[in-house]
Amino acid sequence: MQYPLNANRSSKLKHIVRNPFLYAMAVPGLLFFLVFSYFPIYGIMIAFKDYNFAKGITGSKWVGFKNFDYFFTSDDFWVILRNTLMLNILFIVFTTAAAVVIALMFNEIRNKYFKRISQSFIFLPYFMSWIVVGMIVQSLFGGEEPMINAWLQNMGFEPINWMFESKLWPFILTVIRVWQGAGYLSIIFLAAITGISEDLYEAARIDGASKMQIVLRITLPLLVPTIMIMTLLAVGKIFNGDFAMIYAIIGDNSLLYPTTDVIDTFVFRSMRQLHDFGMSSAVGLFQSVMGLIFVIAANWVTRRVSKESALF
Amino acid sequence: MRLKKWFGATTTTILASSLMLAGCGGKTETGGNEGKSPTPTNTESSVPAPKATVALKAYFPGDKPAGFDDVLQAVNDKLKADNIGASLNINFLPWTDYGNAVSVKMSAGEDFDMYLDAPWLSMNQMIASNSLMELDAMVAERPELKASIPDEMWEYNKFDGKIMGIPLGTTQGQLYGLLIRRDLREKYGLPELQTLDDLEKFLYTVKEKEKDIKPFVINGIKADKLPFILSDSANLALDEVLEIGVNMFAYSIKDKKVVSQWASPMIADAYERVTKYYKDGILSKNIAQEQNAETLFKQGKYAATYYAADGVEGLKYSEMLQDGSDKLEVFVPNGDKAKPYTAFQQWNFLCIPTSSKHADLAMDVANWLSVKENHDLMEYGIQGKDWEPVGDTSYKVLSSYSFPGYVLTWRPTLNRTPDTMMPDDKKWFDFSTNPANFTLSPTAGFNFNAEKVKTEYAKITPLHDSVFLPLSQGVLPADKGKATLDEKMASLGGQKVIDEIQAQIEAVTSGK
Amino acid sequence: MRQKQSAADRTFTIFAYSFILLFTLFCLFPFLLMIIGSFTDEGELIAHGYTLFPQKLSLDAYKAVLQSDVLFNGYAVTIFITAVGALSALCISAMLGYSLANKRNVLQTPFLIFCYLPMLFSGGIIPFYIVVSQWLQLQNSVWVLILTLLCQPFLVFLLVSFFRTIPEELEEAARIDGANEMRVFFQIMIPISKPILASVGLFYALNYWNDWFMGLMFVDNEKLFPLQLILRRMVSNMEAAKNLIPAAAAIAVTPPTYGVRMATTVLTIGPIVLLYPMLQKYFVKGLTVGAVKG
Repeated sequence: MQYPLNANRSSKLKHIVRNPFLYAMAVPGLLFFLVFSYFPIYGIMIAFKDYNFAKGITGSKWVGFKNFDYFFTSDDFWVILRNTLMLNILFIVFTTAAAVVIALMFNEIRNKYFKRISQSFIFLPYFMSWIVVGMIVQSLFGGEEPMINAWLQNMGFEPINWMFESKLWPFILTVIRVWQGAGYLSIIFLAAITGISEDLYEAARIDGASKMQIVLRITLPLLVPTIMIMTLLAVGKIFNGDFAMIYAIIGDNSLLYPTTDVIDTFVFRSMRQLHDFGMSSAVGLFQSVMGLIFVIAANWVTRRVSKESALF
Repeated sequence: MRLKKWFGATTTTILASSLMLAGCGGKTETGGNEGKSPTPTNTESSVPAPKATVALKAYFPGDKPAGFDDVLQAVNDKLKADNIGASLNINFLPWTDYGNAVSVKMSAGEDFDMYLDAPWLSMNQMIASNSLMELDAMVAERPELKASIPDEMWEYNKFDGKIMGIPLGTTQGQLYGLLIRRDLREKYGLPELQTLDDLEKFLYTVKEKEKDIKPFVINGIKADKLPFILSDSANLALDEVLEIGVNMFAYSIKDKKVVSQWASPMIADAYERVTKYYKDGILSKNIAQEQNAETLFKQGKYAATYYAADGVEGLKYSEMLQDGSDKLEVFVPNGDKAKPYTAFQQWNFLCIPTSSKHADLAMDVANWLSVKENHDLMEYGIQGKDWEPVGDTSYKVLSSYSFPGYVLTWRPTLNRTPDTMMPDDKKWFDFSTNPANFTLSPTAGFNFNAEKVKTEYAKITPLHDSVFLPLSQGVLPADKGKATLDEKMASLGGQKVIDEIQAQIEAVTSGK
Repeated sequence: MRQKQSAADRTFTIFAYSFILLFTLFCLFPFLLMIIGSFTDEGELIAHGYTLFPQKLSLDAYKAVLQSDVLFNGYAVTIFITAVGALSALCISAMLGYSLANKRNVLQTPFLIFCYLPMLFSGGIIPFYIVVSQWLQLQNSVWVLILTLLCQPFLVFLLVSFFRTIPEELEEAARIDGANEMRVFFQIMIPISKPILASVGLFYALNYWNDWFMGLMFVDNEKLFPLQLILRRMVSNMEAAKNLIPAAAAIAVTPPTYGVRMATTVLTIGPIVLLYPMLQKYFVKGLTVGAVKG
């Protein structure tokens, strides 16, 4: 069948008229985006304006790139940038890996009750607000007698002063992030695995493949498009630090900033006295633009390798 | 006496409202005098025609107090009975989101009539963008409101010479000290604390002799006040004004210059003390993360904690005295000669957005609330049910109704203190409500507007949390902390901010 | 030959069970700490932090939360918007996703980009507020809580990626048989997409269930506050009361701020955790196989 994607405009129009439902289906969703995302998008201009409450966004004075100054000329610019990217890469890689493994393992579980109960439990961390998580982390690692230190001492190790050691925290944060997000993500992978045709498994079993081989040669490869899309979607946000998580856990403990301070927490602290919408939006715009560039690049690479794994 | 006042208030309000009605002419007011052609009230008739009630919308931070619906109903009933022509529709927004939510509503031009704003919220931006109404004229016309707030408070809480919000406060300045466990002091036979050396002796004794009780606790965030307390110059009006309304900076009267607080020679001894106390374990190792100082002190785990004579801090601990003991006392360094600087600056204002269509009515209500009886109704609840008067200046709490007075009703002349307030606390609180006990700061009237140096100010703001606080907590030793601050200030363009503050202060001082 | 397979396979299965068990415990542990924390006396929480075996239990946190007279109202509102919202959102997103994923769609690429950009770019809260409350006049109604979350780009793309995996032959075969587009979609595509539809529906439900922001910005009427907003207000104001201005002098108890945070989490998780097992029955092998051959 010929798909007239590259046809000229009139035959495209004809196609639309001939297949109204195909296009009409998309209308409600597109309308939503138009009204709730695109109508307000003129607000991006705030990044370039000296925002005045009374004059509104359109009436405020244009200041060009001045709102970006405090961020780009900051002493810690490179550190913050590095932290944001590094933490996000760690988060994406480990959460995805964990979620994939979990989904693959779940596929092997036959006991209905075990499956249902454990699926519900691994989902729970997603519901705990970061503030609550932060309090528990404080209990485990901070205060006068951190719980983890008690365990370490029981096992014969030396206690560590966690709140003072910045180098350990990227790893601690990654573990926490995997704990919170892997369960949620694994549902998506599990749904994708469920869609794999039973025929393929049958054929493999007849050929004498072991379970491990089936997983590695059939399930995993067929999961790759989904993994790629999830990753691409995450890459778009790679310049956006997880403010809720990091602020709730690290808070104002400046000793840990060298490895955990990200763009969003930095902006938050800088704006504490000023509350300037223009200046905070400016950095937000920077994050969005950089994210877009990275996604387009990553998407282009993915298209070359496997077309159906790409985003667009 | 009270009756006369009430009558006077009502007449004034009616006259004021009629003037307003007359001035309105043919304007249609939504929800107001629809369909009625406005006629000036006949001052000869003894009973003026009852006015239609306009619902005034207000946004305040916090939670709806228990029993608020009843109290608000009583307030609105009384407003109607007093023919003010307005009723209150009060909406509470959660504290954490208040600032943002209210800014967004203001920017969108939403229609509401009053809200809480402050320099530490977005008041400066609102003023700069002409989003707040000037209230000078309206205040002048409302005697109860004007009288309920001392002249100094009105005068020094102006922005660019204009009243942009009703200042809400009970004290006239800051007085700092420490709350001490008297029982422990007496246990070790130490005399009443008069000097900082006495205090030091007490703290070290506790550290040495008490196993389960530690010397001192304070929340990490409050620690920037420690250098003010632990200095020989505490609470005195000497060379420098430490609190000028901008974090980390002070004003030297001698040199007429803006200086950094950490470089001030006046409190240099405090930084040495703090460093020493931290090293010796008087201040807890984890002071930076402490958030529960009040609760821990109440549990009896500490011998001393932070105290401020603001009528609020001391009340947090009154439950410790419920068993009838008097185990708490307040130590105010230099208490006998205290006359601290004050700019009479208040930190909370009732503001009216320019988009409000009922500013006059809103001010009428504010005036109405400045009458003792009405003030008490809103702030303490229904008499007999929620509270009982104890004399003129105190009260006994009967229910769990607790209105956040700092958003609407605080008036220095009308304030009542709970009867559970400890005597030391009451003594220092009363001290703080009297303007005569303070020295007028040369920077009074100065309110920092960071517009021109936004970028640099944004760059140095993080230093407060990351370096200045640890320095004040003793976590960063004095010499190292000061050096880091000097270095970073310079490299981040802090001098530009300092120059701007200087210029603005000079504008204020030369204008006098 | 069979024996060897069995051993390797058995080890693998054992490994699978152990891994899941360990991860489940890993997820469960902090959660248990939290539940126990919600029943622990506040004073102890502050002094000693969280523990699995507290010395002093207390129901203060739950008492504080449950005494809110608007709480049950909040449950009602939230259940309504979650049910209506999640179903509507699922329908709209599924239709959009199918349209975008279909290879016959000539406007595919522009549409995809149109739907992706909102994920990265936003005009900010102020224009959004103006659009919703002034242009659309949606404030103070239950619809503002539903309409504003109706379509999430992330979930739409999830559906797109799934619909792409459906073999083209399936659709062709159906159309050759004479079915029109609508029938193809509803009678064939939907049934085989049950797992992904269940997941997306669940995620939308969670989105609605957890949201407090829309309520905060647009709803002043107490009776329309969603559950999460009520709880957030409670916690936020309790924190403020502790640090800024204390409640009236007579109140002797330490407000159980920590405990309340835990209790509110427990109260909100309950219902939604029950939803998940109900949806698990959709996670069964699809009918793709039979569909093509048949």
